[in-house]
Amino acid sequence: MDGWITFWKVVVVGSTAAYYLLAVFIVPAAFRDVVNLTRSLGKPEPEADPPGAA
Amino acid sequence: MWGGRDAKLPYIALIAALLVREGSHFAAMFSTNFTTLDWWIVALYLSIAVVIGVIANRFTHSVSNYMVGGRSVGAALNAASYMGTLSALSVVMYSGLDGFARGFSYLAIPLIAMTCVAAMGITGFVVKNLRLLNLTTIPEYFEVRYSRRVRIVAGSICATAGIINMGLFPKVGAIYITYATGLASSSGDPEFLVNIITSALIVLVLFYTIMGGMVSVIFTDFMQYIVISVGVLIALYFTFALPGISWDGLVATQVEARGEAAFNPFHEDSYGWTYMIWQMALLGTAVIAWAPEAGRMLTARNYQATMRTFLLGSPAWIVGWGLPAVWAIAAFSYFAADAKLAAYFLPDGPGGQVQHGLEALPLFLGKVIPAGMLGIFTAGMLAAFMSTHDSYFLCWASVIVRDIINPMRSEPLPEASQIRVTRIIILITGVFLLIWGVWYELPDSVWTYMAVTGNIFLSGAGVVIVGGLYWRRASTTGAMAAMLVGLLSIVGLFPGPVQAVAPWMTEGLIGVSSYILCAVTFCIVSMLFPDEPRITPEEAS
Repeated sequence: MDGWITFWKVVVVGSTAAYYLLAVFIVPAAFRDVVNLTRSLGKPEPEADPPGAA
Repeated sequence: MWGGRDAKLPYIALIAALLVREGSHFAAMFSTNFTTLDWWIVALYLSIAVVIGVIANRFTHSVSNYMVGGRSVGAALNAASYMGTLSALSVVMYSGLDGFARGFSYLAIPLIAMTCVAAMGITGFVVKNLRLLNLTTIPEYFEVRYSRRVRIVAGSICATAGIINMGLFPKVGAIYITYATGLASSSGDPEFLVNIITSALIVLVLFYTIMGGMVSVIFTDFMQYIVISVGVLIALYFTFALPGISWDGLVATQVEARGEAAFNPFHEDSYGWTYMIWQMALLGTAVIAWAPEAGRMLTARNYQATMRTFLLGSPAWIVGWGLPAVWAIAAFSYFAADAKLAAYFLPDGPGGQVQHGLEALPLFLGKVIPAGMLGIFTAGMLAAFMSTHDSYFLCWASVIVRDIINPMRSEPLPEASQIRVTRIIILITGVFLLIWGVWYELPDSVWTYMAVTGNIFLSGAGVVIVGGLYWRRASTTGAMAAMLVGLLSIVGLFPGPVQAVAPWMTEGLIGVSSYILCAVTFCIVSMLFPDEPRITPEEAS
C-alpha cells in the first residue's frame, strides 16, 4: 500500500508541475498561433477560375 | 370541533418549528461563500465568451474553416484547445463523485488516458496516419479505407452514441451550480431554478457555436484553457490552505476509512481487474476515435503539429480529470470531521457507503474558496461546461452532415448548405439536450453511463481504425460486422437482466467482452470475406 501512496503522489505532483510548466510556453505560442490563424483565415478563399480562362 | 382544532394547534406549531429548524439546518449546511460579486464575475466572463464567438464568425468562409478550422491551427493553440475540451464540468463532477466514493484509486483512469495520449504524441501511432489523410471527420476514414456504407453505419453509430453520451452533461452542470453557488440553501426549488440557468447556458453555447463553427470553438477553448488553469490553481491553494487538510492527512483518512482499496484500483473492493482492463481498452480507443477530442488531430496544421498537440496536452488528463478527484478526497476528510455534514454524506460512517456523492465536491469548493475567487473559479467551471458543449455540438453535427447525409446523396450538399444544415442539427441537438438533460433521472454511476455510451461506438471503431491502418487483410465486411457487434455494448446500460442469468458478469467484464467480441469478429469476418483486390489505373490500362 505504501508503494501506491507514493506512486499517486508522484503522478499528481509530477503531472501538475508538467502541466503548468508547459503552460508557460504554450500560452504565448498559442497567442502567436491565434494571430497567424486569423491572418490565414481572414483572407477570402480564391474563387475558381472562370470557364475558358487560360 | 373548534375545541379539537385548538387542541391540535400546539402540535402544528411544534411541526412548523421543527420544519423551520430543519430548513435553517439545511440552509446552514448548504450555504457557501458565493456572493453577488461572484455572479457579476461569471456574467462578465460569459459575455466575453459570446463576443469572441461572434467575432470568430468573420473567419468562416468555407466548410473546411467551419468544421476543422481550415486545417491550419498551430500546435500550441491546438493543444490549448484540446486541453480546454478535456476539462469538462461533467468530468469534474463524475471525477469528484468517484474520488469521493473510491479515493485515490480513481486516479488510475486519467493516468491510463494520459499514458495513451503521450505515447501517441511521441510515436505518432494512428494519429500521424489519420492526419496525413486530410480528413474532415473521424468516420470519413471508414470510406477512405473501407466503403461508403461502412462510413454511413459508423457515422450513425458515432453520432447516436455521442449525443446520448452528452445527454447528462447539463444535469450534472446544474447540480454543480446548485451546490457551489449556495442556491440549494436559499431557493425553495433550487433544482428548477438551476435547470433554467443551465438551459440559458445551452442557448448561449448554441448561439456562438452556430455563429462561428470550429474557429470560435478553438478561440473560446483557448480562453477557457487559461481560465480553467487559473481556477485549478485557486482551488488547489484554498483546499490545502484549510486547517487540518494536507496530503498526508488525506492519505491517513483514506487508509482509516477504506484501507488498500482507496489506493489500489485493482483491489477487489475497488474497481477490480476487469474494470481496469476495460478502461484501458476504452480510453486507448477514445483518444483516437472519440470524435470531439480525437478531432483535434484533424485541425492541426500538419502531422507534426498533431503529434505535439497530443504530447503537450497529455498532462491535462491528470489536471482536468485527476485533480477534481483529489479535491473530492479532501471533501471526504472535511465532511468526515463535521457531524452534520458527515450525517448527510457519510451516514454509515467513513468506511460505509457514501450518499449524495455528486453534491459533495461543489459544496466543498463553495465552502472553502472565498468570495471573489469563487466567482473566478465558477467562471472557469462554466468555461469547462461551455468548451465541452461547443466541441460536442459541432462534432456530432459535422458527423451527421459529412458522414450520413452527404454519402447518402448522389452529390454532396453545396458548401453553404452544409454549413446551414450543420447549424440546424446543432440547434436540434440543443433542443434534445434541454429535454433529456433537464428531465432525465441521473443513474447511480455517471462515469459508467459515459463509458457504456462511448463503448457503443468505440468498441467497434477502435479495432476497425487500428486494423485498417496496420493490417492489410482488414476487409469491408469485417469492418461492418465489427461496428454492428459493437452495438451490443448497449447491454452495459441495463446490466440487470444479464447479471440475473450470469451473476459473474460485472460491468467491467461486459465492457471488456464487447472489445474482445468486436476484435474477434473483425478478424474472422475479414479473413472469411476479404475485399476484392483493388485495380490501380495503371493496371486497368
